Amino acid sequence: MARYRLEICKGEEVRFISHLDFMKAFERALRRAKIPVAFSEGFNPHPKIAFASALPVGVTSACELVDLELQEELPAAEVKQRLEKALPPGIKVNAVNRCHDKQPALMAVINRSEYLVRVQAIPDAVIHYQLLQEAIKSFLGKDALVVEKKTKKGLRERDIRKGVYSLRGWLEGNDIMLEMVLQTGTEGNVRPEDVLSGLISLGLPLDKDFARVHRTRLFSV
Amino acid sequence: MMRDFIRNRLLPKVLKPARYLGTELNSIHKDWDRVDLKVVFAFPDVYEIGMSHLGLRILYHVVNKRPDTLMERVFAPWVDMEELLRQQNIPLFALESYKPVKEFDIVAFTLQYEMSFTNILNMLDLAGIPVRAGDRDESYPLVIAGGPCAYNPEPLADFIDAFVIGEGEEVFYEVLDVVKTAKQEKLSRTGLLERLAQVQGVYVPRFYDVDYKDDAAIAGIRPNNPNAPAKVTKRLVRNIDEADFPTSPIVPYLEVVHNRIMLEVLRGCSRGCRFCQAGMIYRPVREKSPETLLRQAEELVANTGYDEISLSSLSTADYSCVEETLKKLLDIYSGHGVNVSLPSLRADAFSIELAKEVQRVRRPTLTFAPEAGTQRLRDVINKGVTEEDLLAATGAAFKEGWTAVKLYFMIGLPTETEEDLRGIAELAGKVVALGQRELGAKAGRLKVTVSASSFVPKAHTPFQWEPQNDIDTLKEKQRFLAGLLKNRKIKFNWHDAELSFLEAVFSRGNRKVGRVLEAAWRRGCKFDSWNEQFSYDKWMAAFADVRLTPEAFACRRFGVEEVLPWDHIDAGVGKKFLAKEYEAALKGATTLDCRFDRCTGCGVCPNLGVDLDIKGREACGPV
Repeated sequence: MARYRLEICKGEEVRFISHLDFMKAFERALRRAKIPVAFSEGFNPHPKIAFASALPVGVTSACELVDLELQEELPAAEVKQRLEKALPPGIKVNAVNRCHDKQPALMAVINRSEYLVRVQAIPDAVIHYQLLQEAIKSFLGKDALVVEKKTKKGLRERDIRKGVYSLRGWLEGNDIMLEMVLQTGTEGNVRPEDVLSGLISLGLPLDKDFARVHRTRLFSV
Repeated sequence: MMRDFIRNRLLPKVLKPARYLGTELNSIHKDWDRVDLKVVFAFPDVYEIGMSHLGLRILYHVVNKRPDTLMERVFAPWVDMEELLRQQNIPLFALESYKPVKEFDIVAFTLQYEMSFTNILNMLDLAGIPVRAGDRDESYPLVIAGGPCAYNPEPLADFIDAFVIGEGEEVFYEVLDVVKTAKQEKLSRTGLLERLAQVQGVYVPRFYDVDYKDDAAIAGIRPNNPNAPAKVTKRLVRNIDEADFPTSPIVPYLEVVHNRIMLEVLRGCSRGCRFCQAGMIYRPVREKSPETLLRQAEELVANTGYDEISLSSLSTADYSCVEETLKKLLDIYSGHGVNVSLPSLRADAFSIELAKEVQRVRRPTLTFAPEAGTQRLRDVINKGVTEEDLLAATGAAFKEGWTAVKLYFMIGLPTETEEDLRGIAELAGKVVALGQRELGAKAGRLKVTVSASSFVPKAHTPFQWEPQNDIDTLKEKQRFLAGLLKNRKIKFNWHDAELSFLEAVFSRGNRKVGRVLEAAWRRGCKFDSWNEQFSYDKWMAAFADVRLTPEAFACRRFGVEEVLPWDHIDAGVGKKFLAKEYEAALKGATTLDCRFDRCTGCGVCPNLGVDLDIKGREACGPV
């Protein structure tokens, strides 16, 4: 058994694909690439592929992390080369590294994500630099900030403030750009859209529905 | 740029944006400026259903193989997307290029079930194309339709320019050639249709006049144009083994109904169930050889990466080389995490043997279709399954560790009595008892699902003359059966009687029911086969709008001497044969399968100059 850690991109062409469908597409690409993925034991064998974190529908990413276990040892470069040929438009592989068999599972260690968000003001509203900075300052100055959050059980009120580690913003033409580091994973999960809800509740007229969200980094602290 | 606008402003607002991407693996994006003819395949239901359709996969591949033509896809947008399109005034677009459907030369609808007809009108309207064929000149795309429901094309006669009867891969190139030439010659719409009418298998409804006795009965139908034949004969592929079969199908991102390799092993079925339209219109049986199947399977796995190969056909256990093909596929693929599955099994021990072979990772529910509850009624419908067969099959299944089985029945079949309904409950009870005995300690997990659909008489079947039970009778039978099936181990499902009733109106209707269709669509009917969208009240109001009585079409016994609305469509199976089968049914006499017995005289081989093609007659050689 040989373990590999891959970094892949989820691009424009596949941004509207759910996490489950994205994983399946990736799994099929491995099969087309004839990469011998190992299977779990038992009645219902499934390929040993583990994604670090789920991406919401509509979000693109430069840095999704995936752990693979193969039936046999292959040079990392070869895995990368074979996979590149088989991936559908919009899914790219940045890096493949052979990793130690003792390394802890991705799911267990990844707990932070960095995002870049491009968003506009709602029609007929104007957001100038000062207004943006004041909203961010007010956001970061709060000890608690409750927003309506989409959860598996429908809309729920949640305090997201503790899951927001950094937040900064600037303007690019008509677009408002926001960079944020948020809590990710099993301990708690804050989505960029929750941060936008928070900013809106503080009086910033953002058009949340059409925000473009891009994940730039997954890491653990 | 329309694509960017749709992606950035509309897709974030819909429930399943992956329905509208058009960028799936193996989708084909041709340069519009380098082809002569653009076709869009239109499936009048949502993406997930349409993308599971084998006909689309085949035609997409066949048309795109030609350098001078392209084919793109369009599905019925779900209601959330429709609302956005109408609100923003964006015409219906094709998935690959995002170009408006209206800019294509041909819009080709597939007619898989009657209750998708309102979606056809809605899609034309969303595309900005007049729904009535008579309101379209050559500036609009040619609207054609094919598929099983085209065998009674009359309900759609006012909306479709030309129907293609039979198997598309056989006739489509001829249609494309005619349309291409007509386009170059700048022919009028009528001129183009006159040429199309000369292609065997093409039916142009406007070139025929119908005389009526009354609303629901016709006196005759005859051509009013010298180019139109008195009878339109179906087209079929003579040699399915050599026919072009796509091995690079589009792989959807979305979880579609059949998200797996669909490897067609044979076409047609000659078991001769008397209610079954597919069994009549796809004759004769034509098989692929094991060599062909293994080659296609290999290419399909390499090109798609799917983890399941489904051996598809109307009845895969009837494939003459099924055992060796299955064995070879399993030998090759089981080590690679690729499963083989059999979607259609008979209720007999042989089928269980096959199912056992297919050591699936997760045991699926096994489904059997005895269709009727007594041997008498099973003989009437010519369903060659006995109670012994069914019990042997379910018994073997329980022994093998299956704990859930589904039993399919039909209610409202010709000659049905209370006795037959009781028979359903008794049979289900026997299966439960057997399960409890065979499963022993695991009996707690036993589940027997009984599904009762309602009989719908279909064109070109021995039961085409038969009336359907009226809604009240069907509902009464459903209630009666529900009362008999009160067992913790049995789950009883039944089909919506109102929906089956409308299905019968369209399966046996003439041109007049087209008016109802239009009225219903104008009242907002769409996605009728979707429970939450279906509105029976709107449909009834539509019948009142056009002053037609639905019962006259669904619940009337047609005379055997009567001219039927689809008599000018020739499926190869003779009307005399159907009448003879109908007579035999009423006597309870069975008819055997010509694959295993003598020719039944259905007429399809002599009429179309074809022959059965069974590969297992000579022992299949080593592969």
